[in-house]
Amino acid sequence: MLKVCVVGMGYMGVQHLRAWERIKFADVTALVDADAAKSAEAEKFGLRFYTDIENALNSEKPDVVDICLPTHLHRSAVETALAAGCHVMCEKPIAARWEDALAVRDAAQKSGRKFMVGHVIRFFHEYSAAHALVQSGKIGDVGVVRTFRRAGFPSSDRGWYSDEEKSGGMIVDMMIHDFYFLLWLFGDAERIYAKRVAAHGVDCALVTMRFASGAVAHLEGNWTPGAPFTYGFELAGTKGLIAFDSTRRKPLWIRQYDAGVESGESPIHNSPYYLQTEHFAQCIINDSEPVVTVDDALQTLRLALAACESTRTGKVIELTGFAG
Amino acid sequence: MIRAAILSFAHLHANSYAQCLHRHSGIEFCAVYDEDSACGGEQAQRYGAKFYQDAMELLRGEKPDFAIVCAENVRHCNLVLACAEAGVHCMCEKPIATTVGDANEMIKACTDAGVHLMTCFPVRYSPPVVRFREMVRGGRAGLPLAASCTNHGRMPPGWFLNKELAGGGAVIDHTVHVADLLRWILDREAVRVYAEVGHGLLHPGLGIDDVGLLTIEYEDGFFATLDTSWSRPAIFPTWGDVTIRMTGTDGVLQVDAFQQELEVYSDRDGRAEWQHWGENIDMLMIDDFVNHLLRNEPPAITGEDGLRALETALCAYQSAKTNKPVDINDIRC
Repeated sequence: MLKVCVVGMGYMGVQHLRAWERIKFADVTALVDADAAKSAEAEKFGLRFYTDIENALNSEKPDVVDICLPTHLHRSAVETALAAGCHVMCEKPIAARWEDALAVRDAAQKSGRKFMVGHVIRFFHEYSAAHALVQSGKIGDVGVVRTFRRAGFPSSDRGWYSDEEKSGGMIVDMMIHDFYFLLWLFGDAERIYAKRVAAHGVDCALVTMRFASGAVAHLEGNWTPGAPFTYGFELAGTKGLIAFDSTRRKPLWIRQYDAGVESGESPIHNSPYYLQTEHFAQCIINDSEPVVTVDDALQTLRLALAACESTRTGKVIELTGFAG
Repeated sequence: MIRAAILSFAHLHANSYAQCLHRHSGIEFCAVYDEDSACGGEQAQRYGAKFYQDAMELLRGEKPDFAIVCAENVRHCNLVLACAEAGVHCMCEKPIATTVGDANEMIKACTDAGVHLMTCFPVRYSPPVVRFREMVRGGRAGLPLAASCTNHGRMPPGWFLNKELAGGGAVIDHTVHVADLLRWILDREAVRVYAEVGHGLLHPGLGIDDVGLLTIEYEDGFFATLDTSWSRPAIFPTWGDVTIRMTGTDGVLQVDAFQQELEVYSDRDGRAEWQHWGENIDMLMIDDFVNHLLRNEPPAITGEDGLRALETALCAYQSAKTNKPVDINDIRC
């Protein structure tokens, strides 16, 4: 039985906790959150609660620590957990700053423990199915990729998201998923050019990339007030095209007369978070390598940081020689 | 009765223009010129028009009120100059020309001769686009900040793939519609373009560009990206699209100009198709040209409009050579 501690009981912490609950050979014994009020979450699930990660590790001696903290806190929590001899899962992005990401990579490599960054997009059925179709040759060689990811502008109670120092900003925090998808499809990029407008309560970035294979990609990310979370992609190849748009695929839909609001859902039994957690847990049991490697997480961040650099300098960023 | 001719059926759109001229109750479709007498002759016969194998002979002989130039891109210039010389008003298929020099020559010749020159940008007449423009300019989304645009297509046939005749591939073919729309909607000039261009990226061995991802920057900081790629596979249910998704300070506005479609699944024809039932924008455009002509007003879309859109495409090609953004001014010299 793997003993697990989940650190950080924000939205992601709860998602991860639900995923662990379904894994029969793992047992979450405690939750950690600096906010003492979160002890109510722990009580709800019948778990022990700590406000301090070191106390938790000393008392619980877990096999696995799952870090769901705000990005700027990733490095220190990961280093602490690895030093205590635990296997560690950590929410994306690996870090917001390059030097922190390198430090996490070094700690992971030295530790000899399993380490995986939660690039959950790999476990999203739409994305993994599309990737498999591409691998099967269904559309030939992919030449042009378009991705979009749109969400509501982070509200003040989740303040750290809109604090670029902490989260890395929209490009690092949210577009990271599409950078991972592209890395998974193509490997490394040659160059990036990005434009961004972050003003008037809107954060919108349009990124253009070129890969070594010659393929190009256009990524759109935006945070606008009140936007529902939507995402999609289009892969155009030498022999065909694959497209997905979350706004067009809502198998479940409701409109309540008096509430005047309509909403749609796409229910799934094995959520991407469950699949991700299950994969990591299996890697520990089987002593196998997670499909998302620490180097993948590093390279993904590098792409996002290069895009950020381009938006700041107005220049095309060549990836060779770009050091975060 | 306004008398009209078509100069060359090389461009796919000529067929649609011909049908529009034929159906328009105020227009007599009187003559056809084409280099290929078999093709041209057949078209002429279909519409009860007279066929000429020489453009100047047609212009001087028939003296039409106006002509629509639908030749291969490189040949637009000489045909428009011929119209100017013969005193015939002119609609010219996009892109107006393949070089800035040719476009300038065409504009000057028509101005000096006192003939109208309209660049064919029919998407300006798409009702969804017209409404989109109204809403943007009416401030429904506040101040425009950025736009993500597409003008996708399938790989076209024939001369479109020949640089000597087309001047380029997907980038010159599919930059100009949206570059013109953005200029028309925003009343803003593009100042810089960055482009990633792919040659034979989706059609191996093509020998011409079939992929273009442009980033167009405007004088006040507004920016737009534009996907010009011939990325719809042959089996795609429709030819392509024109879409603009604009983020503003107060909202997001999106238009998909050709989305008024039926989904048609035909075993008889062995394919799925999205068939457009929306307004015939070619007819609206031709009708508008004629109305401006009759009122002796300059056309709604001028030669200069065509030139500005062309500059964006040429700037994209220049950018792709250097992998750097290029100032539009550098293209103008």
